[in-house]
Amino acid sequence: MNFEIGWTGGVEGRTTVLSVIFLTLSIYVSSFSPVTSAIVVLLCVLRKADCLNALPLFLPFIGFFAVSSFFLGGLYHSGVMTLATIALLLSGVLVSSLPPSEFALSLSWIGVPESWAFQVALALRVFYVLKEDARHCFEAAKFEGKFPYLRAVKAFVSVSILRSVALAETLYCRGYSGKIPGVLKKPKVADYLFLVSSVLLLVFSTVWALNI
Amino acid sequence: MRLVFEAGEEKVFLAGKTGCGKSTLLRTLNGLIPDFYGGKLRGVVSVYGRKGNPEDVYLVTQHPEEQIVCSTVLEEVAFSLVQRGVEWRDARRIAEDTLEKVNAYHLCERKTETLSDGEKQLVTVCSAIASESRCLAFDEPFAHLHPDLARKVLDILLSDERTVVVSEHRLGLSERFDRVHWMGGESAIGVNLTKENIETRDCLERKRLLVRAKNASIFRGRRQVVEGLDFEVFEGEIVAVTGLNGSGKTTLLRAIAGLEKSDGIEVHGKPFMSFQYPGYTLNSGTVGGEVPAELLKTFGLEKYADRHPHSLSSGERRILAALKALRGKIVLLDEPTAGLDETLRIAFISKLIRIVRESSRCAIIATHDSSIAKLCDFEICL
Ligand SMILES: Nc1ncnc2c1ncn2[C@@H]1O[C@H](COP(=O)(O)OP(=O)(O)OP(=O)(O)O)[C@@H](O)[C@H]1O
Ligand SMILES: [Mg+2]
Repeated sequence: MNFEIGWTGGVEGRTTVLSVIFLTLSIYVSSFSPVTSAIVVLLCVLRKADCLNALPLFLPFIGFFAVSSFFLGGLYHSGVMTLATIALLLSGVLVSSLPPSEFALSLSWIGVPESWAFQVALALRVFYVLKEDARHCFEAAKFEGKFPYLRAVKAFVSVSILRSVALAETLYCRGYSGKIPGVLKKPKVADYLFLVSSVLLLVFSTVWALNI
Repeated sequence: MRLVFEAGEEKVFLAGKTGCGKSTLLRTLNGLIPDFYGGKLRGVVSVYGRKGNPEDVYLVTQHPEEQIVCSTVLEEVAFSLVQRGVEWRDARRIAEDTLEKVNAYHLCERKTETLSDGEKQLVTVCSAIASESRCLAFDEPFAHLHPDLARKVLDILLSDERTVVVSEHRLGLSERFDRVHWMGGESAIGVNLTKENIETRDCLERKRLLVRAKNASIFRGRRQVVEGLDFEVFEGEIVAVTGLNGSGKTTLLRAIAGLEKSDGIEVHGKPFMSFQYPGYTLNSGTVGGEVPAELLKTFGLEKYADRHPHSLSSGERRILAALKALRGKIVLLDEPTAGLDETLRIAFISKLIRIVRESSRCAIIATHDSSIAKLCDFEICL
């Protein structure tokens, strides 16, 4: 199985960010109604079939959630909450399939200040650097006999401290002024369709919630 | 110390021993020292009549990985231009042209985290060339580049009309600069190392087979990087792995170490790999905990025994990481000499080779340095 959750850039930024906000809102507005959650899952899966790939990564989390909500409210409650969690996770995964710069540009388009939006993109980049660092530290520690885990963590702590200093240094060296490189793509028909369906879902769940 | 640049088109080559303070000097040029780090600066650093600042001086520091702030190559190369307020369309065109000039146009759309170390370094150098600063300063920009590519990049730098300051260990490259500035200052490391005479051995002495590749293919993620590779390594043999940037040297070492998926590679013995970035390998609290005392002594590192390994200079860390790999039967070294000065690197590698021979281990060394490759028994060219 392939656990890659890297971005592929198959979807457009602005519509995706908006849709994800609407989808998330609909789940909350409808107070975790299983119908809404199921529709969100369906939409996400239709939108980008391979975002299901990332689901196994979250299995422990989903499992924990399912069990704890079972003890809190019984089988039905547990099922409903698990479905809602999966729906929220999937719509989150949709965002992670955007190139970081496009995500940042979309954020700044919907009104987030540009330098904040850049920090988000930078955080994603740092996340990948640290992920690679951690992987290498663990690989390096594998060659050693005793306490490989502890040693890997030690190396990783030192490396990540050095990295964060270096990152600040780099931003200084490169004259960082808070602008985001890159352009926004033009949305395609599929992007608009997805946006429209998420708006419709939000409208229906709001109406439904108000009627009850 | 005093270093005066004449305004305009001068090209300066900074030479000096490992750990003599070249990086520190370069950091004063763009104001990292003292503005960013603090510390005391006596005397005057004046850059175009101002004090050191990142606008006039674009500095590329040592580790390429740490220089990259964007997620795709094109955005990365265009980054500095965009920060200066250049429109994305123009910035993009300049970035593409720059990449084109070094034959790296194919990297444009790549994600930065999937580049090989040399490719990362190339990208950081390109970002400097694409920037608008009046002075470009490079701290060992060629350490991870293949010699042909290094020459190509150098051509571009020298034909540029801006001021260029390069700190480098490959003195062969210095001839074409306007001025070579020697920095004094000795580093403790390796003072008692001298070049060892090592003869290549004849095949009669061959003992146990340690690594064999038979029509091997190696994968990086889903991509096949190396195919149809054949070689055998026996006890006491030293092998160099050479090839262009991104040709799969690191990938080959990783496959032998069992970290990457491969077909057709047999390994008999315990591998130990030292990575291209030495920090990963150094995971003890002290230098003495990494490497046995007598080995430290041989390489002139004994007085650091109580220091934290990450507090050493980058050349020293590299040597330490390479020495640590001697714990394995199959010693895998990825660019052990990047960032070491010429005499030190030969002395260091020849000593290392002798130790490997005498203890009937085997060593596989990925390197861009032909003088190192010559010391080895044979060369695998990817
Ligand atoms: N983490 C990764 N994921 C996917 N592809 C990668 C990854 N790291 C490297 N590659 C690709 O695999 C190929 C071989 O990379 P490798 O690191 O082995 O090159 P190399 O010969 O060591 O180069 P260098 O001299 O620059 O260190 C390159 O094309 C590189 O872009
Ligand atoms: Mg490599």
